[in-house]
Amino acid sequence: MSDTPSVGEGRTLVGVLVYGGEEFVPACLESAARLTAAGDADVVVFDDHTPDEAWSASIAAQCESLGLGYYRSPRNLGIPRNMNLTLLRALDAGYDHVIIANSDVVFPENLVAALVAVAKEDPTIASVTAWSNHVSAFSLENLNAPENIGTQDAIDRISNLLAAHFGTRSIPVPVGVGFCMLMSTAMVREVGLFDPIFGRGYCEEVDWCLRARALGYRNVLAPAAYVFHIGNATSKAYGVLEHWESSDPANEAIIDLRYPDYRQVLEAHDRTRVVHELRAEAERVLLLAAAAELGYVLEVSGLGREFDYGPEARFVLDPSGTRRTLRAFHGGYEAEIPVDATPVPEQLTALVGRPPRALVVRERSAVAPRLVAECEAAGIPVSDEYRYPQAVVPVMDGVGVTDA
Amino acid sequence: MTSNAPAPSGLARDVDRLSLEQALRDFEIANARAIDLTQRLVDLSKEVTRLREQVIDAQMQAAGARAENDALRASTTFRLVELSSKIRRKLAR
Repeated sequence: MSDTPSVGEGRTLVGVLVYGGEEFVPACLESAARLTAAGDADVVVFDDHTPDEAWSASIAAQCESLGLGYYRSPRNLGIPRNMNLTLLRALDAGYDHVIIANSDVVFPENLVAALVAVAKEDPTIASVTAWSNHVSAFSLENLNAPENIGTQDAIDRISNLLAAHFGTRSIPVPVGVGFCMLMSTAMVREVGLFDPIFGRGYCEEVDWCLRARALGYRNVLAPAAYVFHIGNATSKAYGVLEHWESSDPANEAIIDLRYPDYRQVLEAHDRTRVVHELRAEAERVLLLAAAAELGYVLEVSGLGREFDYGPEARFVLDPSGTRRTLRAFHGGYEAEIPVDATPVPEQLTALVGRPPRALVVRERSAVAPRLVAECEAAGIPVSDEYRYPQAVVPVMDGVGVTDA
Repeated sequence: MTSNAPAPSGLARDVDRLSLEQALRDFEIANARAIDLTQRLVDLSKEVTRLREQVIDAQMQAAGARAENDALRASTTFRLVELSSKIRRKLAR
């Protein structure tokens, strides 16, 4: 047994906090095992004295079979003190970085590499938060996340696409989010541990990040690591939060008392629209990749329906829109793609790298015939859903309705 | 665990040690905070008592002033002065 990881490998410790969670912990552990397989991280599951001992034993067995470390606290400590065990373990065993993570997540395979790469970019970075469908106000939301990105393959695909595009880019955020956040151990040494005053949890990472900020350090979000996160799963199941809450009001009051200008800082950050722009950029990347990979249809429709009805991406032109913008949909994501006056099929072909499989017409404005002509000129099949075949032309009051 | 990670028993032993050491520190911090908060509570309780006394004094002074004012307004002299003021205003029109 070696207490200290060797240089160049095993330099990051990932601490996963577990408390119950039979519905989602197995998927989390399987994804965590892939992090260790990459050889750049060790994972320890910190079981905060789950009340069901049989389930705890099952988690321990899963950890053993997956090659993960497992530690069950002799009594329930609450999130801040339990996460402190991860930080203390990382300091004690000589790791360079430490990641604290919830267990209602599925990690992408590139998680550690992406977060560490960002942290190494700038020594003034205190925390690096992974991106996610559920990461407070910084989320890149998905319309149906459990179904669309809740599997290992799906989250790997999304995270790898984002990593290929964003690399080591990061955006500043006022505070990190403790659902999956990396800190260097040097920073932990300087800023300290999470404050146990936050009891069962929530806001402890806000306090930590604001302490780091007060020391002149920065908190950032890394768009290259995208984690599937259910969000508040354990807290609501065990009554830490009411069903309508996303944080603990008592702990928020402590933050307000300690950092009276914090909410103004959040509002000022929101006004910069940096997250909004990042989100738009990422959605465009994901939609164009899906279209290139799986094909797409061009649709002209006044109704921007968000759901998918096939494996392909959809690019929808709203004829009533004041701006010429396509709304693209796929896999629970939506993006806006501006278009100019040149034929839309041509622009899309250049943008995606392949032509649309078909044009689907769902409305009757002057835009539709123009698009039909453009597509027919390019040899793209047209499916006009408003045109009845002659055989089924409806008859009303004895008068045949002919197809215009 | 990966090849360089400790065996579970070693991990449990190490984390138990770290947890115990930190629990003792947390206890010291919590104790210091409890002492500090108790002192602040005592100070603030004194302050509340002092402010309540000030409020009672102020209320008593206000009650005295109100009674004096009522007595003044009820006096014949005040009513005569008020009446003469009204007559002067009417004559001035």
